[in-house]
Amino acid sequence: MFEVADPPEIVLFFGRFHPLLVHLPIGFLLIAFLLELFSRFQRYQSIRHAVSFVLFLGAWSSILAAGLGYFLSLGGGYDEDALALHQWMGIGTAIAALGALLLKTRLNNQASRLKERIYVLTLSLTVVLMMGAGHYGGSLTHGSDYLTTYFPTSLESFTGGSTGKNKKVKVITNLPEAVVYTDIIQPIFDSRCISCHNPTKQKGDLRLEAFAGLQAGGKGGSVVEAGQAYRSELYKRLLLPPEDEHAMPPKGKEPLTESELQLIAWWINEGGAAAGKKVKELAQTPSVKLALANYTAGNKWENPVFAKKIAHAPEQVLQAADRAGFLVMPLAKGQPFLQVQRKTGAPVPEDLSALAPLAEQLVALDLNGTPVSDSLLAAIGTFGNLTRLYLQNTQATDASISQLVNLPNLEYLNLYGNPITDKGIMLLAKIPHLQKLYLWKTKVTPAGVAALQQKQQELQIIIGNSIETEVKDQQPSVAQSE
Amino acid sequence: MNIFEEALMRQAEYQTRRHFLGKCTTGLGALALSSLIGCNWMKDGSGPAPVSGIVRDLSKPFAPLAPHFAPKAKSVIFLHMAGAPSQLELFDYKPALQKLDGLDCPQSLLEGKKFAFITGVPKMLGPQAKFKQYGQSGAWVSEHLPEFSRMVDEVSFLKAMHTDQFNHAPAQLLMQTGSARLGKPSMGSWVTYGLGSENENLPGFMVLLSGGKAPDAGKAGYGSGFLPTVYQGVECRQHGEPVLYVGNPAGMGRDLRKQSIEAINAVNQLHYEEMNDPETISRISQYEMAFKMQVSVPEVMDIQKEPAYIHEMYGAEPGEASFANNCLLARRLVEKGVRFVQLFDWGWDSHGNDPTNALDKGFGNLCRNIDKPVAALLEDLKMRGLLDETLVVWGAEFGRTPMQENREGKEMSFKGRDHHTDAFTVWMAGGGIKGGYTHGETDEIGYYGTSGRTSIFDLQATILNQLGMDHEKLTYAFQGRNFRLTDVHGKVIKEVIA
Repeated sequence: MFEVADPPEIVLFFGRFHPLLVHLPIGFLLIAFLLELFSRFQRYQSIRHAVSFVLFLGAWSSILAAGLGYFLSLGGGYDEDALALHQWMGIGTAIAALGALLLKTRLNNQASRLKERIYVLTLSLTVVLMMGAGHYGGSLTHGSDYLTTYFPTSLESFTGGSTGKNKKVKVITNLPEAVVYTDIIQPIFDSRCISCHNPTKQKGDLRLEAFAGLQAGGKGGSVVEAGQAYRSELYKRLLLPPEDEHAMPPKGKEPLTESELQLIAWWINEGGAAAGKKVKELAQTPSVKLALANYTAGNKWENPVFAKKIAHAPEQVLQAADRAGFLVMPLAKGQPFLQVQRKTGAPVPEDLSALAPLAEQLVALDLNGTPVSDSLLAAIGTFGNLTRLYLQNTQATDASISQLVNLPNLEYLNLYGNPITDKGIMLLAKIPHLQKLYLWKTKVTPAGVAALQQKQQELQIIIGNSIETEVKDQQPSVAQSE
Repeated sequence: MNIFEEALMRQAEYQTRRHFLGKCTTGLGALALSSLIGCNWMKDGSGPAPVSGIVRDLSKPFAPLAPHFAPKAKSVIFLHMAGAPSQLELFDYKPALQKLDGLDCPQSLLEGKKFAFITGVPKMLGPQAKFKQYGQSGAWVSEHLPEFSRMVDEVSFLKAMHTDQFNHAPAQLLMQTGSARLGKPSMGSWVTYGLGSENENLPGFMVLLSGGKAPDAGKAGYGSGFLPTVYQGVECRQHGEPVLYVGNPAGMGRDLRKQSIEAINAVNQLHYEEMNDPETISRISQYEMAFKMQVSVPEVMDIQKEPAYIHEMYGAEPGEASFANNCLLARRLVEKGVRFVQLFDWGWDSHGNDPTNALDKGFGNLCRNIDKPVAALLEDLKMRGLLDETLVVWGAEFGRTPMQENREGKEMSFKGRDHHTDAFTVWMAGGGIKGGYTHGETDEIGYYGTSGRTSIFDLQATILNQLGMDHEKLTYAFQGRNFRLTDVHGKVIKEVIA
């Protein structure tokens, strides 16, 4: 490559027209080749007269495109090897096209077998070179894995080898022990920056695929100043408004989220340069804690019920449940999952037998205000896919709770306004992923809550504003009168 | 000919060839044209299939429909502070503004800007309240909201909201209907149209007013626009009967009322079969709803039934017209399955021309009126397990300027700020929204959003999203095209979703 210290702006200005013009010769030369090919058939003989004109357009536009491409390359920022290949193939295309044009115009005058052969060979060479130049040009602009990123996973076994798409972001299971740079910062760079800052395409001479590249810095020198996020070129560029020409990621690409920005600032401020530091070793402000929580939010537990393949409930079963006084609603359009509540004003059901055929589909059951006898709740354990259960103001007792331990997927359980005691709620420690438990106006004591919390650390237990005083006030106003 | 015979005669005429040819000379052309351009809405449904994503049987306008995807929230309580409270005295803490207090506003902030009242060069006005950080999230809240400050960890703040309307009525319309002009359905109408209601005895969309005056946008702020009228918000009165004429007159028993409504509906049904106007079906279902409401509304609106400590918690006084009562009512309504409860509290227009809302005078009183009820609403919903699936939104139509208002170039009698469209604060809580989070930031003086700017349409898209609806798919075909709440704008604010 030729090194020109600072190419004049006018050169760069015209250089940027390269992507605009470069598709002309591609079209012209390809059509010239096809015209030449088809003119050999009797039926299309007449088109052979068009060949030399199209070839003329192709040759001159390829020369122009090659020139502009050279101007563009002076701006720098591309991988040298790929650029050299692209450049010489491009120039080769222009020369070969010009040669083919000369041969063609000569041929029209005096045809000989040999010249004819040389001409066809030159034209074919032009097309081959052009394909090569086009491919490397594409790789320079979009990155070398652009074509294969979305290669169907199911076909990978045929081609052997992975396309790299499935490189999964490492799930952070133990946040305090996670290494800040490799587990948090590098994945941000991986998803947002390395498509332009990688070994093949080094915009601004910066590489971000590994810590070493970051340390080496870019064209303007170091990009990270340890302890000074606002003085670090990397962070400054991320903060610029999208209209600014120096803003990163450039206009049109998705900007970083606030959490990501906060984490990068935190990492730099806490001494950025040092790689191997763990999360717990760096000081965390409340906002950083929140950003970390957001960043790892993707790891949160997903209820397996919704991944199950479940058939839609048959219409007559739905109608039977409706007649029994239940309002049955699909959770969402096209999904088999159902939520059920008692219809406004419907009589208290004797049991849940009308819902038994819906056991698979039933994910939320609302019995709010329905007095539940033991017989009513006897079958609740068979609704194994329940994720939300509303039993507030239902006179449910500790005995009723013993039925609930058979609901492994329960996430939300509302028991407020029921005579439930500490003994009852301890049974809930057996429900593995329970996330929210409502115990306002129950006979549960703070000690009981603490004991359950001890066993279920992730569980949010909501006991209301003043648990002791409310207990004496407790006369569950059962039976929705409406 | 008596009147009955005349009516029969008229009806017979409608079905004769003479009438048809005589009256429909131009009509025929229009019919032919409409069938040619593909707009023939025939009674048998032979016209093009409705493009709207929702198929509704208008005889059951509130039948629950499945949302587009699994929802996080089942209902919405929207607390609209009509008049627009100052974000700079409540949530958006700007210590730098204090240093500029009393200085002339730099020209660069005024160029190309339009204000409702500010003229010439106004002076900057520092924060008129003290701020502290609260909760685990360390959110800044002013001294005006001591009770609310306990609840900041339930709340996501949107600090860089913006709008393009600087007058109350159009800005309120934009917030509630997605258009600054009249005629579009309000958010509550869209939501009840799209989802229906789980309680068939109460309207799905109810409106409660406080502050002594209706919002400037008037009833259009909760109207149904081009949606069937049954979806408009039902406004409840603060004194006397909650809904006018919901009680029976003396001497009219429930049985008699039932019979008369059945008779009226039978006549309406005949009329519908003849004229085929969908509004007639709406009317029939409204009569049926009104009959049910005669029992259900007085019951749900009677806050006397709440125990004393709940009244104490909200600061509610039965019989008074207050925001506190309305908050308590809102909780009762969502508890009964009402889909959308809209509260308007009027009087937040702190220009500095009136001591009742001036930032250095009555503003504190206004805040006191809402502080306890809002905190109680969040807390009450939470302990009942309702906050998990009720989206509470607090906000106004716009914000207020960091400059002191100088109406007609004169100094105002009290400290006040002008309408400001470029930056204001809205918060959301519950219904699958993150707790203790702040999205968006404003510059050092709270004049313009520097990151995370969100528009009115983004807020609306997010509200619909939490209810399980794609704001781009909740559409209604009207005047030849599909309309939606967010029209052509709106992006769900993913950052605040838990």
